[in-house]
Formats: sequence, C-alpha cells, structure tokens
Amino acid sequence: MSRRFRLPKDRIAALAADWGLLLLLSYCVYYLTNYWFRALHRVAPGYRVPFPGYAYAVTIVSTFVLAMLWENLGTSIGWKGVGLAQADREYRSLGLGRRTLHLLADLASWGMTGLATGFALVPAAGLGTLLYGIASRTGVSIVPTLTFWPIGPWPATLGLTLLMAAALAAVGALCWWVAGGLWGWLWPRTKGAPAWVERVSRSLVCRASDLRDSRPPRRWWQTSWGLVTLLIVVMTIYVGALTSEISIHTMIQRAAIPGAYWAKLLSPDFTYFLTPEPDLRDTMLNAAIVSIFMALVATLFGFVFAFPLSFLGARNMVTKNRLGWAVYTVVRGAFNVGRSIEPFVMALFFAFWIKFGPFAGALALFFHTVAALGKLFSEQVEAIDPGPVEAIVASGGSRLQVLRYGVMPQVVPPFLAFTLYRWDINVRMSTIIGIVAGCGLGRFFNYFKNELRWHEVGAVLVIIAVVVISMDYISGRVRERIT
Amino acid sequence: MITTSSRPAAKGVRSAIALAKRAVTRVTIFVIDVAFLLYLFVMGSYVVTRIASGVGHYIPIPGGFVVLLALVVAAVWGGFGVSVGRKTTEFLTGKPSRAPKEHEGLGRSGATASSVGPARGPWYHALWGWSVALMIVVTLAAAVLFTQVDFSKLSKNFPFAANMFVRFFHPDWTIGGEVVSLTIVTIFMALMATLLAIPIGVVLSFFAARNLTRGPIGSPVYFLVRALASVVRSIEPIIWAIVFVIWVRMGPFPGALALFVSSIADLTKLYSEQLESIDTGPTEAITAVGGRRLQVLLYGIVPQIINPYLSFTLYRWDINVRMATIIGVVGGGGIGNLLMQYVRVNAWEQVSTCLLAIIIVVWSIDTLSARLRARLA
Repeated sequence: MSRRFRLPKDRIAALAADWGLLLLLSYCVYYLTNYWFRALHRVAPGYRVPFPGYAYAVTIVSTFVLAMLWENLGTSIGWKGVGLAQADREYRSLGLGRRTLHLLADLASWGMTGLATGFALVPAAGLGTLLYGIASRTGVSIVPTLTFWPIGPWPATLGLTLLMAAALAAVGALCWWVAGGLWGWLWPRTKGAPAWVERVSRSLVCRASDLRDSRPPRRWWQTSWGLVTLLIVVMTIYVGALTSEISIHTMIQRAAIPGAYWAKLLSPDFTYFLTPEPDLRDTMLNAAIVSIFMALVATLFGFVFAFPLSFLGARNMVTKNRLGWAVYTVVRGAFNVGRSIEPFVMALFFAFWIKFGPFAGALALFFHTVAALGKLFSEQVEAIDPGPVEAIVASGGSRLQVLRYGVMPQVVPPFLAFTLYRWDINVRMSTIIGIVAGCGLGRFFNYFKNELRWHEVGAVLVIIAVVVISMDYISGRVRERIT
Repeated sequence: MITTSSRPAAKGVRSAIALAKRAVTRVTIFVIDVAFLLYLFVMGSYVVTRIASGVGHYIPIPGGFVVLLALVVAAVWGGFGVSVGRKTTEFLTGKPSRAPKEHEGLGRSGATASSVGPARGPWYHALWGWSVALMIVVTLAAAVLFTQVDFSKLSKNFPFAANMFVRFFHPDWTIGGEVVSLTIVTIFMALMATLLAIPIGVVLSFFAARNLTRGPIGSPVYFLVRALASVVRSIEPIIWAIVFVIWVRMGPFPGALALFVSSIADLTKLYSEQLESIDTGPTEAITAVGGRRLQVLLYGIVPQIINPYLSFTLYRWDINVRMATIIGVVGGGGIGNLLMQYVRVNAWEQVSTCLLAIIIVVWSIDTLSARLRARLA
C-alpha cells in the first residue's frame, strides 16, 4: 500500500460505532413498529409493515448523516468512547457556529474519503471480475455465470479476456493513482481531521483529556451520549426479549410438565455403566473412554499441526517480503475461518463424509483445534521479546539457530499451557459431539433422550460432569506448574 | 510464632503436623502409583488383546489378582525406588516429596529423589522414565484404536462427499432474507443470555471468592456455590438446551435459557477468581479510616474489578454467540435450527449460505470483542 494512505483510525472507529449504534436503533424501531402494528390491528403473526428496497438505502444514508451531525454538533458515543473532542486552537470547547462550519467541512471531507476509497477499490474489483470471469468459464465459480463475459470457442475467449485484463489494468492503475493523490491531500499528517478542515473551521480535533474548559463537566444524564446510550440499552433489551421469545409465563405455565422429568433426571440409573446396552451394544464406561480419547487424539495431532503453522501465521516471522505477506494472510485467514465453525457443525459434514463414528468426531475436533491453537500460538510468537533473537543474529547465528535458541525457549511454555487449555475444551466438546457424530457419550445421550429414558439420561449427564471436572482438575494442576 | 517455637509442647505439635504432612504425601504417592499401574495394565491388555484377537479385553485375568498385584508393586516401588507417583508429586508441588534431614545417611527414608545416587541421570536411566514412556505408547495405541482412525475412509468415501463440496461452492442466495433475520435472532439470544447473567453472576461471585467467605457460614456457602458452578459449567449449553426444550418447547427461548444458565456458572467462576486476586491495600486503608462495609465495597473493591469484569463479560458474549449459532441444532432456535433443517435433507447449497452467515457473524463479533478487551486491559 502506498505511503500516502494514512488511516485516521480513531475517527473511523468512532464513526463506525456511531453509525452502527444508530443502525441498531433504527432496526429496533422497525421491529417494534411491526410488533405494535400487529398487536393493534390483530393481523397475521407473520405480517410486516412494508419495507421496500429503497428504504434500506434511505436508512443507511440517513443514519450516516445523523451520525455526522451528532459527532459534530454534540458529543457522540463514539467520540466519548474513543476519547476525542473538538476544540479551538487554545483547546477550548467550540461554539455552535464553528461546530456547524466543522460539520460542513467534515461532511465534504468524508464524502471525498469515500470517493477516494471507491477509486482505490477499483483495481481490486477489476481483479476480482477477471478471476470470476475465468472461474465461471471453468465452472467452479461461487457466483452465477457473468453474462457479459465472452463465452465462445477458447481462442476467441482467451483473446478477449487478455484484452479486458489489459483494459482493467490501465483503468485500475489510473484509479489507484487518483485515489492516492486524493487521500494524501485529505489526510496528510493529522490524525483528528484533515488539515484543510481545521483551517476552514478554525478548529481542531484533539484528545478529550487535552481540553481546557472553564465549564464544569456535565453528568451523564445531561449529555446526548448518556441519554442515547440509555435509549439503546433499553430498546435492545426490549427487542432482545421479544426476539428471543423470553416468556416467564410459559415457564410457569409448563412448570408442572417437566416436574416428573426433573425427578427422573435427578435419580440416575447406572445399569448400563458396566453392562452393555442391548441396542447400542456398548457400555457407558466404554463411551466415556472413547470420548476422552477422541479429545486426546484431536489435541495431540492438533498441536503437532498447529505448531509449525503458527510460525507461518506470525507477522514478525514471515512478513519480510510480499510472499511472506501472502503466506501470513492465507494462514491467518484459514485460522479465523476454521475457528468460526464450531466442531459440532464440522462433525455434521464428517459424519456425512466418513459415516458415523468416533473418527468423524475426532477429525472435526482436530480441524477446529488446529485453527484455534494456531491463532493462539501465532499471537504468542508475535509477542516474543526480540532481544534474544537479535543477540543470536548479531553473533552470527543461522536462521535455524535463531529459531531454536531465540524463539523456542520463549514460546514453548505458553504453547503447552494453551494446549492444555484446549484439551479442556476438547474434552467438553467430545462429550457432546457424539450427538451428531454418533459416538461416545453423546451417542448414548441422544439415544436415551429420543427413547425418553430420563433415568439413563441422568446417568450420562453425571458421567459427563465427572469426566469433564476431573480432566479440568488434572490439566489445571499441570498448567499451574508449567506457567 | 518465634516465642512459641521454643516451648517443647509446641515443638511436639509442629513435629506431629510435619509427620501428618509426610504421611499425606506418602499416601498420595501410593494412590497415584496404584492408579498408574492399574491404568497401564488395563489399557495395555486392551491394546494387546485388541490387536491380537480383534476384541479388546480390559481385564483378561481375574480382577482381584490385578488389584493385589498393583497394590504390592506400588508399595514396593514407592518404598524402595523413585516411582511415577513420587515424580508426579514432585512435579506438581515443585519441591522434593521427602524433606532432607540432618543426621541421616543416603539410602534412608529421609533422602530425596534428587539426593539418591551421585547425580540425577536422564529419564532413560530410571525405571519411572521407561514406565512413563510405556504409558505414552500404550495411550497412543489405545487412542488410535478407540477413535477408529482410518484414513482410507476419507478417500474411499470421497466420491460420495465430492458432490457435497461442489454444491458448497454454489451458495443459494435466495434464502438470504431468512438467514439474515435468523442471524439477528441468534445475536439477540446471545446478548440477552449474557446481559441477564451479569447481575446474577456478580452477586454469586462474592459468595464464591475464598477471601470474602470465611467462618462457619461462609465456607459451606463457598463450597456449595463453587461446586454448583463447576457442575453446571462442565455440561455444555447444547445439553442444557435439550433440557430446556422439554420445558418451554422449541424456539429461541430455550436456547437463550441454556446460554443463560451456563453463562451464570462461567461468569461466577471468572468473576470470583478476579475477586480473589484483588489487592488488599485499598480495602485495608478504607477500613483503617473508619469506612463502612458498603464504602469498602464501593471504593476499595469495585474500582479494582470493574474492568476485568467487563472484559470477562465481553469474552463470555463472544462464546455465547458461537454457541448460539449451534444451539439451534437441538431445537434452540436461531440460525442453527435452519442449518440443521437443510443438513437433514442434504441441501448443501442452503447449508453453505447458513455457514457463511455463521462465519461472518462469529468472526466479526470475535474481532470486536477482542478489540474492546484489548482497550479495557
């Protein structure tokens, strides 16, 4: 990225917070409108007040404008949270006139920032279009086939594709150049506001702690950010309670129904702890052992794979050149995606792929473990003290020696602690993963639950609790020792 | 203590305590040794019989003999050699299990593991080292056998699964609206569970902190709350959801309830650990200048715990969002419910759309919570 692209991080974070909260607020308003409308007019439960396509655009734009107004004319939640304030050159609060000036200049500057960003995204969009076009010719695209893309005999298609690629490259380069220039002019060196905005409104954006005001600070209920926070909290809780269908009434009304079933759950039946269950042809003890070993296999192999991968996902290890950045991005991205999919969901696919059984569950746990451990490990590698590394480099150590004597001693104890922590989670997960993967304790749980044999379900729950608590205890003791 | 130590009676009591402590250490070592030997035997015979005959037997010879053998071997090992139990206790406590005493020669019971012999050799010069190595081998073999690791299954069934992967790359965008609205429900479920769990977790954490619960009433309360919290925590929210589905029927409510219950337990544990590690300086200062209990709480304790509490809550919210995405699999509402419906009929295009939504939501909430926590720390 060009050096001229300097992100005003605080401003962007504050704007994103304000805009996001206002969007949340408008969602709540729309939800409640629907809710009250249905309640008042007694219409069908699925009825919604019409919300046409352009209303989305109107909402998005108007909340943005509202956020800008709020940030400039008052103190918004975002500015309060990040700790920004507007001041004149003597660091005193601004009056309404200059705040309005600042607002106008600010709107223009953000508009132009958006324009510059748009220009900067053109090369990426062009590259994406090119790749999609080629992919859609080979039939592996994840988007519908592009209709404007040349489809025909290969030589003609190839020629046209090359032509389009050249055109895209030219346009992309031009746009990138324009974007760089615009951005550099907008955000030259300042962090708070573009220099020309400050010049026009004769004001500046500074840290709230730098403000030298004679006025006493206001209490939270006297400020706009305080009141809006209150409004958002109240609305969110109200809408949240409605969306998650929280109803104490149902709980009380149906309290008698699960009564018998609670009693059964609390008097567990351990008949099948040692004698095999006739339908499942297995004992609960065996199932517990399978669950523990699934977690063990997943953690062990997860550690073995995450260990080398974590160095490829650590910024300070690989990002010396372009290739390194690519490796870093790919590895970290894979970690993040892998971490986002719960092993429980992965098990669904492995159960489909290799049929039900402990191997499917262990594989699902393994993939999640590699991703989760990989991320934790690479963050640890990024946080190492560069001193020993530099010392070994200075005394002429090879790359391998740097890794062995400079990095390893620093990362191995935390790596082991993280692995033990992961082991805890995996034990927990392996007890339930059997519900979908058909193995271990989860299989027993699911089977007894479907047969409504609550005494046996109670027994399975007790075994799960015992297994998890004892494994937690052991790993806790070991972790205490090694850290 | 200095004045009492010279009195012979106190000396006697102290040596009795030391004796009792040593006895406890001995018993611990013995128990660990017996457990280790039994585990080695049971798993070893399972692995051997499974490989030899195809059917695993844990105890191929009468169980009484095995137990007797383990007891005798453990007694002999613990008494005369450096057993696994001794190494384990030394590792866990960080100090030699038998304190070195003056006027005692080598080979007597007062010698430590490290003082026996000229120097401590590498692990492969000792019996405990080989035993541990054997245990690791047996455990790995048993793990592979129990988990039925068979990589050929992956390739054998690949043609069957290839169809699934191809369809994965063609997400169905027509169900986008439904996916988005259910995703919002999922986020709100997690939010409500976390928000409602905060006040209860805060109150319970004061009863689960060791330094705040003393005396004849405090201690039992502490143990009760801690035990309940760890039992509830050990059972995953998915299972709680199944329990609640029977109570309040399917929908987002049982899912939120399940997350609520496990959040309470988790937050209580995290909060109380924070309370246990507070600095006593400020509280003592406020007590010394005549502050009341409420003032000690407000000005001595709260300022120390507010940021960690917020950070733990954000962390728990992050976990709750993760869990909320899958809690629908068992009837707990939200996006997981839709996902499971499509998985049941093998509609992989639709499953792919749901998964994309889950990945985006979990990833963004994860990033957001990590950023906010970094600011709070």
